[in-house]
Amino acid sequence: MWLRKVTFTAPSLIAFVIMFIFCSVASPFFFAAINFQNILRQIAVNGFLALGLTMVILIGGIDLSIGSVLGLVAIVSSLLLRTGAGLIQLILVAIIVGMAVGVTNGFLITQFDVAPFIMTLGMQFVLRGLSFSLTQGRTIFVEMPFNVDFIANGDIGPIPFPAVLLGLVYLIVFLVMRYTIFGRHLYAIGGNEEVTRLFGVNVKLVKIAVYAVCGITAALAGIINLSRISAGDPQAGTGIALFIIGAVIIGGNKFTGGLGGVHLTIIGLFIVVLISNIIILTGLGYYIQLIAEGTIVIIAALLGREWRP
Amino acid sequence: MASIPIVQMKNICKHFGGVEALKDIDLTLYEGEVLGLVGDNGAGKSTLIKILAGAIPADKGEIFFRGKKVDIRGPKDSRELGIETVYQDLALIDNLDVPANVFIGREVKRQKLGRVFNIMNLKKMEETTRRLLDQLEIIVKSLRERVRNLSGGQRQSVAIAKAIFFNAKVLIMDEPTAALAVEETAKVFNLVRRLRDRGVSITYISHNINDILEISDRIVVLKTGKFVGVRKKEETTKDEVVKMIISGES
Repeated sequence: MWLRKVTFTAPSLIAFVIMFIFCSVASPFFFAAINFQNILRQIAVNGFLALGLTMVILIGGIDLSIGSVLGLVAIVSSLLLRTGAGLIQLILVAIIVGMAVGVTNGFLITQFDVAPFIMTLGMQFVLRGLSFSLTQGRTIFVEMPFNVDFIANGDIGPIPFPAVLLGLVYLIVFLVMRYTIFGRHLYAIGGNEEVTRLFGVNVKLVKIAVYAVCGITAALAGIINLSRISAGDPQAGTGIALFIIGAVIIGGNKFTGGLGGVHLTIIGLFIVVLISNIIILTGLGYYIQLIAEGTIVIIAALLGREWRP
Repeated sequence: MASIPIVQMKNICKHFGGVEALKDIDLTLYEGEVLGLVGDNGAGKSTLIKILAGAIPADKGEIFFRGKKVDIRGPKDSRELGIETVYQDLALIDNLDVPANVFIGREVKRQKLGRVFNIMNLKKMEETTRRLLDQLEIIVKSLRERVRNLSGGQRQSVAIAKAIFFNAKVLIMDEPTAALAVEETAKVFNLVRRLRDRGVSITYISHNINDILEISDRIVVLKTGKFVGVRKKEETTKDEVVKMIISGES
Protein backbone atom coordinates (compact mmCIF):
# COMPACT_ATOMS: atom_id res chain seq x y z
CA MET A 1 0.00 0.00 0.00
CA TRP A 2 2.74 2.45 0.92
CA LEU A 3 4.53 1.66 -2.32
CA ARG A 4 1.47 2.82 -4.22
CA LYS A 5 1.46 6.05 -2.27
CA VAL A 6 5.09 6.66 -3.11
CA THR A 7 4.67 6.11 -6.82
CA PHE A 8 1.76 8.50 -6.88
CA THR A 9 3.76 11.21 -5.20
CA ALA A 10 4.90 13.91 -7.54
CA PRO A 11 8.38 13.17 -8.93
CA SER A 12 9.12 16.82 -8.32
CA LEU A 13 8.56 16.35 -4.61
CA ILE A 14 10.98 13.45 -4.60
CA ALA A 15 13.43 15.58 -6.58
CA PHE A 16 13.05 18.37 -4.06
CA VAL A 17 13.82 16.08 -1.14
CA ILE A 18 16.89 14.75 -2.93
CA MET A 19 18.03 18.27 -3.74
CA PHE A 20 17.53 19.36 -0.15
CA ILE A 21 19.66 16.52 1.15
CA PHE A 22 22.28 17.25 -1.50
CA CYS A 23 22.40 20.92 -0.58
CA SER A 24 22.73 20.12 3.10
CA VAL A 25 25.88 18.14 2.49
CA ALA A 26 27.27 20.28 -0.30
CA SER A 27 27.69 23.42 1.72
CA PRO A 28 27.98 24.17 5.43
CA PHE A 29 26.27 27.50 4.84
CA PHE A 30 23.08 25.91 3.58
CA PHE A 31 21.50 24.78 6.80
CA ALA A 32 21.31 28.21 8.39
CA ALA A 33 18.26 30.24 9.31
CA ILE A 34 19.49 33.25 7.42
CA ASN A 35 19.98 31.17 4.28
CA PHE A 36 16.49 29.73 4.50
CA GLN A 37 15.07 33.18 4.99
CA ASN A 38 16.92 34.37 1.92
CA ILE A 39 15.56 31.45 -0.08
CA LEU A 40 12.04 32.26 1.03
CA ARG A 41 12.42 35.89 0.04
CA GLN A 42 13.66 34.87 -3.40
CA ILE A 43 10.72 32.56 -3.87
CA ALA A 44 8.28 35.33 -3.00
CA VAL A 45 8.75 37.53 -6.06
CA ASN A 46 8.95 34.57 -8.41
CA GLY A 47 6.09 32.94 -6.57
CA PHE A 48 3.63 35.65 -7.50
CA LEU A 49 4.72 35.50 -11.13
CA ALA A 50 4.41 31.73 -11.12
CA LEU A 51 0.97 31.78 -9.54
CA GLY A 52 -0.78 33.53 -12.39
CA LEU A 53 1.34 31.79 -14.98
CA THR A 54 0.34 28.38 -13.59
CA MET A 55 -3.31 29.19 -14.21
CA VAL A 56 -2.56 30.35 -17.75
CA ILE A 57 -0.57 27.21 -18.52
CA LEU A 58 -3.35 25.05 -17.07
CA ILE A 59 -5.85 26.40 -19.58
CA GLY A 60 -3.44 25.65 -22.35
CA GLY A 61 -2.03 29.12 -22.82
CA ILE A 62 1.20 30.96 -22.07
CA ASP A 63 2.16 34.45 -20.98
CA LEU A 64 5.57 35.79 -21.83
CA SER A 65 4.75 39.33 -20.77
CA ILE A 66 4.86 38.74 -17.00
CA GLY A 67 8.41 40.01 -16.59
CA SER A 68 7.60 43.20 -18.44
CA VAL A 69 4.49 43.75 -16.34
CA LEU A 70 6.68 43.40 -13.26
CA GLY A 71 9.13 45.97 -14.60
CA LEU A 72 6.44 48.41 -15.64
CA VAL A 73 4.64 48.27 -12.31
CA ALA A 74 7.92 48.58 -10.42
CA ILE A 75 8.83 51.84 -12.11
CA VAL A 76 5.28 53.21 -12.13
CA SER A 77 5.13 52.51 -8.40
CA SER A 78 8.48 54.18 -7.80
CA LEU A 79 7.32 57.24 -9.74
CA LEU A 80 4.11 57.30 -7.72
CA LEU A 81 6.08 57.05 -4.49
CA ARG A 82 8.01 60.12 -5.59
CA THR A 83 4.76 62.05 -5.85
CA GLY A 84 3.85 61.00 -2.33
CA ALA A 85 1.52 58.08 -2.96
CA GLY A 86 0.93 55.48 -0.26
CA LEU A 87 0.97 51.68 -0.34
CA ILE A 88 -2.76 51.39 -0.92
CA GLN A 89 -2.57 53.56 -4.00
CA LEU A 90 0.38 51.54 -5.27
CA ILE A 91 -1.54 48.31 -4.90
CA LEU A 92 -4.62 49.73 -6.58
CA VAL A 93 -2.64 51.07 -9.52
CA ALA A 94 -0.78 47.79 -9.78
CA ILE A 95 -4.01 45.81 -9.92
CA ILE A 96 -5.43 48.13 -12.55
CA VAL A 97 -2.32 47.97 -14.72
CA GLY A 98 -2.03 44.20 -14.34
CA MET A 99 -5.68 43.66 -15.11
CA ALA A 100 -5.54 45.97 -18.14
CA VAL A 101 -2.60 44.09 -19.61
CA GLY A 102 -4.12 40.71 -18.80
CA VAL A 103 -7.52 41.55 -20.22
CA THR A 104 -5.89 42.90 -23.37
CA ASN A 105 -3.86 39.74 -23.76
CA GLY A 106 -6.86 37.53 -23.07
CA PHE A 107 -9.27 39.46 -25.25
CA LEU A 108 -7.03 39.57 -28.31
CA ILE A 109 -6.08 35.93 -27.88
CA THR A 110 -9.64 34.67 -27.59
CA GLN A 111 -11.40 37.05 -29.91
CA PHE A 112 -8.99 36.88 -32.82
CA ASP A 113 -7.57 33.43 -32.22
CA VAL A 114 -4.02 34.72 -31.94
CA ALA A 115 -1.45 32.27 -30.61
CA PRO A 116 -0.84 33.18 -26.96
CA PHE A 117 2.91 32.86 -27.47
CA ILE A 118 2.95 35.51 -30.17
CA MET A 119 0.49 37.82 -28.48
CA THR A 120 2.25 37.89 -25.14
CA LEU A 121 5.64 38.08 -26.84
CA GLY A 122 4.56 41.29 -28.53
CA MET A 123 3.09 42.60 -25.29
CA GLN A 124 6.36 41.83 -23.55
CA PHE A 125 8.25 44.16 -25.88
CA VAL A 126 5.60 46.86 -25.84
CA LEU A 127 5.59 47.03 -22.06
CA ARG A 128 9.36 46.91 -21.79
CA GLY A 129 9.65 49.76 -24.25
CA LEU A 130 7.05 51.65 -22.25
CA SER A 131 9.05 51.13 -19.05
CA PHE A 132 12.18 52.51 -20.64
CA SER A 133 10.46 55.49 -22.19
CA LEU A 134 8.80 56.40 -18.90
CA THR A 135 12.16 56.72 -17.18
CA GLN A 136 14.43 57.42 -20.13
CA GLY A 137 16.19 54.20 -19.19
CA ARG A 138 17.14 55.46 -15.77
CA THR A 139 16.58 53.65 -12.50
CA ILE A 140 14.29 55.51 -10.13
CA PHE A 141 15.67 55.83 -6.64
CA VAL A 142 13.17 56.79 -4.00
CA GLU A 143 12.80 56.58 -0.26
CA MET A 144 10.73 53.54 0.70
CA PRO A 145 8.07 54.18 3.32
CA PHE A 146 8.10 51.59 6.07
CA ASN A 147 5.09 49.65 4.88
CA VAL A 148 6.43 49.32 1.33
CA ASP A 149 9.81 48.25 2.59
CA PHE A 150 8.21 45.72 4.89
CA ILE A 151 6.65 43.84 2.01
CA ALA A 152 9.89 42.30 0.84
CA ASN A 153 12.16 42.86 3.80
CA GLY A 154 9.98 42.44 6.86
CA ASP A 155 9.54 39.36 8.99
CA ILE A 156 6.71 37.75 10.88
CA GLY A 157 8.64 36.06 13.63
CA PRO A 158 11.33 33.95 11.95
CA ILE A 159 9.53 33.86 8.60
CA PRO A 160 9.98 36.56 5.98
CA PHE A 161 6.76 38.49 5.41
CA PRO A 162 6.66 37.98 1.61
CA ALA A 163 6.73 34.22 2.21
CA VAL A 164 3.79 34.42 4.60
CA LEU A 165 1.90 36.51 2.06
CA LEU A 166 2.75 34.10 -0.72
CA GLY A 167 1.69 31.09 1.34
CA LEU A 168 -1.67 32.67 2.08
CA VAL A 169 -2.32 33.62 -1.52
CA TYR A 170 -1.29 30.19 -2.79
CA LEU A 171 -3.61 28.54 -0.31
CA ILE A 172 -6.54 30.65 -1.46
CA VAL A 173 -5.83 29.99 -5.13
CA PHE A 174 -5.39 26.27 -4.44
CA LEU A 175 -8.80 26.10 -2.79
CA VAL A 176 -10.44 28.10 -5.58
CA MET A 177 -8.97 25.82 -8.25
CA ARG A 178 -10.05 22.66 -6.50
CA TYR A 179 -13.41 23.49 -5.01
CA THR A 180 -15.06 26.16 -7.12
CA ILE A 181 -16.87 25.93 -10.43
CA PHE A 182 -14.44 28.45 -11.90
CA GLY A 183 -11.53 26.21 -10.97
CA ARG A 184 -13.16 23.16 -12.47
CA HIS A 185 -13.95 24.97 -15.70
CA LEU A 186 -10.32 26.04 -15.83
CA TYR A 187 -9.14 22.42 -15.74
CA ALA A 188 -11.88 21.40 -18.18
CA ILE A 189 -10.76 23.99 -20.73
CA GLY A 190 -7.18 22.84 -20.38
CA GLY A 191 -8.26 19.25 -20.90
CA ASN A 192 -10.64 19.65 -23.83
CA GLU A 193 -11.61 23.15 -24.87
CA GLU A 194 -14.10 22.23 -27.61
CA VAL A 195 -16.08 19.82 -25.47
CA THR A 196 -16.14 22.28 -22.60
CA ARG A 197 -17.52 24.93 -24.93
CA LEU A 198 -20.03 22.41 -26.30
CA PHE A 199 -21.54 21.95 -22.86
CA GLY A 200 -22.24 25.58 -22.29
CA VAL A 201 -19.18 26.90 -20.48
CA ASN A 202 -18.23 30.44 -21.49
CA VAL A 203 -14.70 29.50 -22.43
CA LYS A 204 -13.74 32.95 -23.73
CA LEU A 205 -14.71 34.61 -20.46
CA VAL A 206 -12.81 32.12 -18.33
CA LYS A 207 -9.70 32.54 -20.48
CA ILE A 208 -9.81 36.32 -20.30
CA ALA A 209 -10.25 36.10 -16.53
CA VAL A 210 -7.25 33.81 -16.22
CA TYR A 211 -5.01 36.11 -18.28
CA ALA A 212 -6.24 39.01 -16.18
CA VAL A 213 -5.28 37.19 -12.97
CA CYS A 214 -1.86 36.48 -14.46
CA GLY A 215 -1.40 40.17 -15.18
CA ILE A 216 -2.46 41.09 -11.66
CA THR A 217 -0.10 38.64 -9.97
CA ALA A 218 2.76 39.85 -12.17
CA ALA A 219 1.91 43.41 -11.18
CA LEU A 220 1.96 42.53 -7.49
CA ALA A 221 5.33 40.88 -8.07
CA GLY A 222 6.45 44.26 -9.38
CA ILE A 223 5.66 45.88 -6.05
CA ILE A 224 7.56 43.19 -4.19
CA ASN A 225 10.49 43.69 -6.54
CA LEU A 226 10.41 47.43 -5.89
CA SER A 227 10.44 46.75 -2.18
CA ARG A 228 13.25 44.25 -2.47
CA ILE A 229 15.71 46.44 -4.36
CA SER A 230 14.36 49.75 -3.03
CA ALA A 231 14.36 51.21 -6.50
CA GLY A 232 12.36 51.24 -9.71
CA ASP A 233 14.49 49.43 -12.25
CA PRO A 234 13.10 49.53 -15.82
CA GLN A 235 15.06 46.39 -16.57
CA ALA A 236 13.52 44.46 -13.68
CA GLY A 237 12.05 41.16 -14.74
CA THR A 238 13.86 41.03 -18.07
CA GLY A 239 13.97 37.47 -19.30
CA ILE A 240 12.38 36.06 -16.20
CA ALA A 241 9.30 34.67 -17.96
CA LEU A 242 11.11 31.62 -19.31
CA PHE A 243 12.67 30.95 -15.94
CA ILE A 244 9.23 30.99 -14.31
CA ILE A 245 7.82 28.72 -17.01
CA GLY A 246 10.68 26.38 -16.18
CA ALA A 247 9.71 26.37 -12.51
CA VAL A 248 6.07 25.64 -13.32
CA ILE A 249 7.03 22.71 -15.56
CA ILE A 250 9.69 21.34 -13.22
CA GLY A 251 7.02 21.21 -10.55
CA GLY A 252 5.07 18.81 -12.74
CA ASN A 253 2.40 20.88 -14.47
CA LYS A 254 1.60 19.68 -17.96
CA PHE A 255 2.80 22.19 -20.51
CA THR A 256 -0.25 21.80 -22.72
CA GLY A 257 -2.60 22.28 -19.80
CA GLY A 258 -5.30 20.45 -17.91
CA LEU A 259 -3.09 18.71 -15.38
CA GLY A 260 -1.30 20.06 -12.34
CA GLY A 261 -1.86 22.88 -9.91
CA VAL A 262 -0.26 25.59 -7.83
CA HIS A 263 0.85 23.04 -5.25
CA LEU A 264 3.17 21.61 -7.90
CA THR A 265 4.39 25.06 -8.88
CA ILE A 266 5.54 25.66 -5.32
CA ILE A 267 7.71 22.57 -5.50
CA GLY A 268 9.14 23.67 -8.83
CA LEU A 269 9.95 27.09 -7.40
CA PHE A 270 11.73 25.56 -4.46
CA ILE A 271 13.79 23.31 -6.69
CA VAL A 272 14.84 26.15 -8.96
CA VAL A 273 15.69 28.50 -6.13
CA LEU A 274 17.60 25.74 -4.33
CA ILE A 275 19.71 25.23 -7.42
CA SER A 276 20.70 28.85 -7.63
CA ASN A 277 21.20 28.97 -3.88
CA ILE A 278 23.58 26.02 -3.70
CA ILE A 279 25.51 27.24 -6.70
CA ILE A 280 26.01 30.60 -5.08
CA LEU A 281 26.97 29.00 -1.76
CA THR A 282 29.53 26.72 -3.38
CA GLY A 283 30.82 29.50 -5.58
CA LEU A 284 30.31 27.66 -8.86
CA GLY A 285 29.05 30.68 -10.72
CA TYR A 286 26.08 31.93 -12.68
CA TYR A 287 26.91 30.06 -15.87
CA ILE A 288 26.85 26.71 -14.08
CA GLN A 289 23.52 27.74 -12.60
CA LEU A 290 22.08 28.30 -16.05
CA ILE A 291 23.33 24.94 -17.26
CA ALA A 292 21.93 23.24 -14.16
CA GLU A 293 18.50 24.83 -14.50
CA GLY A 294 18.26 24.04 -18.17
CA THR A 295 19.27 20.45 -17.57
CA ILE A 296 16.65 20.04 -14.86
CA VAL A 297 13.92 21.40 -17.12
CA ILE A 298 14.88 18.88 -19.80
CA ILE A 299 15.00 16.03 -17.30
CA ALA A 300 11.67 17.10 -15.86
CA ALA A 301 10.13 17.15 -19.32
CA LEU A 302 11.46 13.69 -20.15
CA LEU A 303 10.44 12.11 -16.85
CA GLY A 304 7.14 13.94 -16.74
CA ARG A 305 5.82 12.26 -19.87
CA GLU A 306 4.55 9.14 -18.16
CA TRP A 307 3.50 10.47 -14.83
CA ARG A 308 0.20 12.26 -14.59
CA PRO A 309 -0.26 14.90 -11.87
CA MET B 1 -44.68 0.79 -27.17
CA ALA B 2 -44.00 2.16 -30.61
CA SER B 3 -47.12 4.00 -31.74
CA ILE B 4 -46.55 7.63 -30.79
CA PRO B 5 -44.15 9.58 -32.99
CA ILE B 6 -41.86 11.70 -30.83
CA VAL B 7 -39.87 13.25 -33.65
CA GLN B 8 -40.95 13.86 -37.22
CA MET B 9 -38.67 15.36 -39.82
CA LYS B 10 -40.43 16.34 -43.06
CA ASN B 11 -39.05 17.35 -46.43
CA ILE B 12 -35.57 17.98 -45.10
CA CYS B 13 -33.17 19.37 -47.70
CA LYS B 14 -29.54 20.32 -47.24
CA HIS B 15 -26.77 21.16 -49.62
CA PHE B 16 -23.12 21.95 -49.08
CA GLY B 17 -21.91 24.14 -51.91
CA GLY B 18 -22.89 22.30 -55.05
CA VAL B 19 -23.50 18.97 -53.36
CA GLU B 20 -27.01 18.01 -52.35
CA ALA B 21 -26.48 16.09 -49.12
CA LEU B 22 -30.16 15.55 -48.34
CA LYS B 23 -33.02 15.54 -50.82
CA ASP B 24 -36.48 15.80 -49.38
CA ILE B 25 -36.00 13.38 -46.50
CA ASP B 26 -38.78 12.30 -44.18
CA LEU B 27 -37.92 10.59 -40.92
CA THR B 28 -40.19 9.49 -38.10
CA LEU B 29 -38.97 8.37 -34.72
CA TYR B 30 -41.42 6.71 -32.35
CA GLU B 31 -41.34 6.74 -28.57
CA GLY B 32 -39.47 3.89 -26.99
CA GLU B 33 -37.87 2.49 -30.14
CA VAL B 34 -34.40 2.05 -31.52
CA LEU B 35 -34.25 3.34 -35.08
CA GLY B 36 -31.26 2.21 -37.07
CA LEU B 37 -30.06 4.60 -39.76
CA VAL B 38 -27.91 3.04 -42.47
CA GLY B 39 -26.42 3.86 -45.80
CA ASP B 40 -23.10 4.00 -47.52
CA ASN B 41 -20.67 6.89 -47.20
CA GLY B 42 -22.25 10.08 -48.39
CA ALA B 43 -25.74 8.76 -47.83
CA GLY B 44 -26.51 11.70 -45.56
CA LYS B 45 -27.02 9.89 -42.24
CA SER B 46 -24.69 12.10 -40.20
CA THR B 47 -26.01 15.23 -41.87
CA LEU B 48 -29.59 14.33 -41.05
CA ILE B 49 -28.98 13.70 -37.39
CA LYS B 50 -26.79 16.77 -37.07
CA ILE B 51 -29.77 18.78 -38.25
CA LEU B 52 -31.91 17.13 -35.59
CA ALA B 53 -29.24 17.78 -32.97
CA GLY B 54 -29.04 21.42 -33.97
CA ALA B 55 -25.41 21.24 -35.00
CA ILE B 56 -26.19 22.41 -38.55
CA PRO B 57 -29.29 24.10 -40.00
CA ALA B 58 -31.49 22.54 -42.66
CA ASP B 59 -32.05 24.47 -45.88
CA LYS B 60 -35.66 23.39 -46.15
CA GLY B 61 -38.08 21.25 -44.21
CA GLU B 62 -39.81 21.07 -40.87
CA ILE B 63 -39.25 19.29 -37.61
CA PHE B 64 -42.02 18.27 -35.24
CA PHE B 65 -41.57 17.22 -31.63
CA ARG B 66 -44.51 15.38 -30.13
CA GLY B 67 -46.69 16.74 -32.90
CA LYS B 68 -45.70 20.37 -32.39
CA LYS B 69 -43.59 22.24 -34.93
CA VAL B 70 -40.22 23.27 -33.49
CA ASP B 71 -37.45 25.58 -34.62
CA ILE B 72 -34.03 24.08 -33.93
CA ARG B 73 -31.36 26.72 -34.44
CA GLY B 74 -28.59 25.43 -32.26
CA PRO B 75 -27.56 22.59 -29.96
CA LYS B 76 -29.18 24.38 -27.05
CA ASP B 77 -32.62 24.25 -28.70
CA SER B 78 -32.52 20.53 -29.27
CA ARG B 79 -31.14 19.93 -25.80
CA GLU B 80 -34.01 21.88 -24.32
CA LEU B 81 -36.42 19.58 -26.12
CA GLY B 82 -34.67 16.61 -24.60
CA ILE B 83 -32.65 15.60 -27.65
CA GLU B 84 -29.12 14.59 -26.69
CA THR B 85 -26.29 13.37 -28.85
CA VAL B 86 -23.56 10.88 -28.08
CA TYR B 87 -20.79 11.89 -30.42
CA GLN B 88 -18.40 9.55 -32.13
CA ASP B 89 -15.48 10.92 -30.16
CA LEU B 90 -17.62 10.73 -27.02
CA ALA B 91 -17.19 14.37 -26.02
CA LEU B 92 -15.57 13.48 -22.72
CA ILE B 93 -13.02 15.59 -20.86
CA ASP B 94 -10.20 13.15 -20.26
CA ASN B 95 -8.44 14.82 -17.37
CA LEU B 96 -11.60 15.04 -15.25
CA ASP B 97 -13.40 12.25 -13.38
CA VAL B 98 -16.83 10.77 -14.09
CA PRO B 99 -18.97 13.08 -11.93
CA ALA B 100 -17.11 16.10 -13.33
CA ASN B 101 -17.90 14.98 -16.87
CA VAL B 102 -21.55 14.25 -16.13
CA PHE B 103 -22.04 17.66 -14.55
CA ILE B 104 -19.88 19.83 -16.80
CA GLY B 105 -21.60 23.11 -17.43
CA ARG B 106 -24.27 22.36 -14.83
CA GLU B 107 -22.27 21.83 -11.67
CA VAL B 108 -24.18 21.57 -8.40
CA LYS B 109 -23.51 24.56 -6.18
CA ARG B 110 -23.02 24.38 -2.48
CA GLN B 111 -22.43 27.97 -1.57
CA LYS B 112 -22.39 31.17 -3.50
CA LEU B 113 -19.46 33.49 -2.91
CA GLY B 114 -20.20 36.15 -5.41
CA ARG B 115 -20.70 35.38 -9.08
CA VAL B 116 -17.38 33.75 -9.73
CA PHE B 117 -16.54 31.67 -6.72
CA ASN B 118 -19.34 29.18 -6.50
CA ILE B 119 -18.17 26.32 -4.32
CA MET B 120 -19.18 22.99 -5.76
CA ASN B 121 -21.11 20.33 -3.94
CA LEU B 122 -18.76 17.52 -4.81
CA LYS B 123 -20.44 15.00 -2.54
CA LYS B 124 -23.86 15.51 -4.09
CA MET B 125 -22.51 15.24 -7.63
CA GLU B 126 -20.68 12.05 -6.77
CA GLU B 127 -23.72 10.49 -5.10
CA THR B 128 -26.01 11.43 -7.95
CA THR B 129 -23.56 10.03 -10.48
CA ARG B 130 -23.25 6.79 -8.53
CA ARG B 131 -27.03 6.42 -8.49
CA LEU B 132 -27.22 7.14 -12.21
CA LEU B 133 -24.59 4.56 -13.09
CA ASP B 134 -26.15 1.97 -10.80
CA GLN B 135 -29.56 2.53 -12.35
CA LEU B 136 -28.13 1.97 -15.79
CA GLU B 137 -26.04 -0.94 -14.51
CA ILE B 138 -22.83 0.70 -15.65
CA ILE B 139 -19.86 -0.55 -13.70
CA VAL B 140 -17.14 1.93 -12.80
CA LYS B 141 -15.24 1.00 -9.68
CA SER B 142 -13.92 4.35 -8.60
CA LEU B 143 -15.73 7.53 -9.58
CA ARG B 144 -12.67 9.55 -8.66
CA GLU B 145 -10.72 7.94 -11.49
CA ARG B 146 -9.93 10.18 -14.45
CA VAL B 147 -12.10 9.29 -17.40
CA ARG B 148 -9.06 8.69 -19.61
CA ASN B 149 -8.19 5.64 -17.48
CA LEU B 150 -11.50 3.89 -18.15
CA SER B 151 -11.97 1.22 -20.78
CA GLY B 152 -13.52 2.07 -24.15
CA GLY B 153 -16.80 0.50 -23.17
CA GLN B 154 -16.91 2.33 -19.85
CA ARG B 155 -16.16 5.64 -21.56
CA GLN B 156 -18.93 5.01 -24.05
CA SER B 157 -21.33 4.12 -21.25
CA VAL B 158 -20.40 7.26 -19.31
CA ALA B 159 -20.99 9.36 -22.43
CA ILE B 160 -24.42 7.76 -22.83
CA ALA B 161 -25.27 8.12 -19.13
CA LYS B 162 -24.30 11.77 -19.32
CA ALA B 163 -26.54 12.31 -22.33
CA ILE B 164 -29.62 10.74 -20.81
CA PHE B 165 -29.10 12.05 -17.31
CA PHE B 166 -30.63 15.37 -18.13
CA ASN B 167 -33.88 13.76 -19.12
CA ALA B 168 -33.11 13.04 -22.71
CA LYS B 169 -36.18 11.71 -24.44
CA VAL B 170 -34.35 11.27 -27.71
CA LEU B 171 -30.83 9.95 -27.89
CA ILE B 172 -28.81 10.22 -31.08
CA MET B 173 -25.86 7.89 -31.38
CA ASP B 174 -23.39 8.18 -34.22
CA GLU B 175 -21.22 5.07 -34.65
CA PRO B 176 -21.12 4.42 -30.92
CA THR B 177 -19.45 1.04 -30.97
CA ALA B 178 -17.04 1.61 -33.83
CA ALA B 179 -14.00 1.42 -31.59
CA LEU B 180 -15.22 -1.18 -29.13
CA ALA B 181 -14.42 -4.83 -28.61
CA VAL B 182 -17.15 -7.46 -28.92
CA GLU B 183 -17.79 -7.79 -25.21
CA GLU B 184 -17.95 -4.05 -24.67
CA THR B 185 -20.27 -3.64 -27.65
CA ALA B 186 -22.60 -6.17 -26.06
CA LYS B 187 -22.62 -4.18 -22.81
CA VAL B 188 -23.44 -0.96 -24.66
CA PHE B 189 -26.27 -2.74 -26.50
CA ASN B 190 -27.69 -3.91 -23.20
CA LEU B 191 -27.62 -0.33 -21.98
CA VAL B 192 -29.35 0.88 -25.13
CA ARG B 193 -32.08 -1.74 -24.69
CA ARG B 194 -32.57 -0.75 -21.04
CA LEU B 195 -32.97 2.85 -22.13
CA ARG B 196 -35.46 1.93 -24.81
CA ASP B 197 -37.47 -0.03 -22.28
CA ARG B 198 -37.54 3.09 -20.12
CA GLY B 199 -39.16 4.94 -22.99
CA VAL B 200 -36.14 6.72 -24.48
CA SER B 201 -36.15 6.90 -28.28
CA ILE B 202 -32.85 6.16 -29.90
CA THR B 203 -31.54 6.93 -33.36
CA TYR B 204 -28.55 4.72 -34.04
CA ILE B 205 -26.19 5.22 -36.92
CA SER B 206 -23.77 2.52 -37.91
CA HIS B 207 -21.86 1.07 -40.81
CA ASN B 208 -22.04 -2.33 -39.23
CA ILE B 209 -25.09 -4.12 -40.64
CA ASN B 210 -24.86 -6.88 -38.05
CA ASP B 211 -24.95 -4.38 -35.20
CA ILE B 212 -27.86 -2.55 -36.81
CA LEU B 213 -29.85 -5.74 -37.26
CA GLU B 214 -29.20 -6.71 -33.68
CA ILE B 215 -30.05 -3.48 -31.92
CA SER B 216 -32.69 -1.77 -34.09
CA ASP B 217 -36.45 -2.12 -33.96
CA ARG B 218 -36.80 -0.45 -37.33
CA ILE B 219 -34.21 0.29 -40.01
CA VAL B 220 -34.14 3.27 -42.35
CA VAL B 221 -31.92 3.18 -45.42
CA LEU B 222 -30.56 6.28 -47.14
CA LYS B 223 -28.54 6.54 -50.34
CA THR B 224 -26.91 9.69 -51.70
CA GLY B 225 -29.25 11.92 -49.77
CA LYS B 226 -32.44 10.17 -50.72
CA PHE B 227 -34.75 8.01 -48.66
CA VAL B 228 -34.63 4.41 -49.87
CA GLY B 229 -36.86 2.46 -47.53
CA VAL B 230 -37.80 1.50 -44.03
CA ARG B 231 -38.19 -2.00 -42.59
CA LYS B 232 -39.11 -3.53 -39.28
CA LYS B 233 -36.37 -5.77 -37.98
CA GLU B 234 -38.56 -8.88 -37.93
CA GLU B 235 -39.72 -8.28 -41.47
CA THR B 236 -36.35 -8.06 -43.18
CA THR B 237 -33.06 -9.84 -43.68
CA LYS B 238 -29.43 -8.80 -43.83
CA ASP B 239 -29.38 -9.44 -47.55
CA GLU B 240 -32.36 -7.21 -48.15
CA VAL B 241 -30.85 -4.37 -46.15
CA VAL B 242 -27.53 -4.67 -47.95
CA LYS B 243 -29.34 -4.70 -51.28
CA MET B 244 -31.21 -1.53 -50.33
CA ILE B 245 -28.00 0.20 -49.32
CA ILE B 246 -26.16 -0.67 -52.51
CA SER B 247 -28.85 -0.42 -55.13
CA GLY B 248 -30.93 2.33 -53.62
CA GLU B 249 -34.06 0.41 -54.46
CA SER B 250 -36.64 -0.70 -51.98
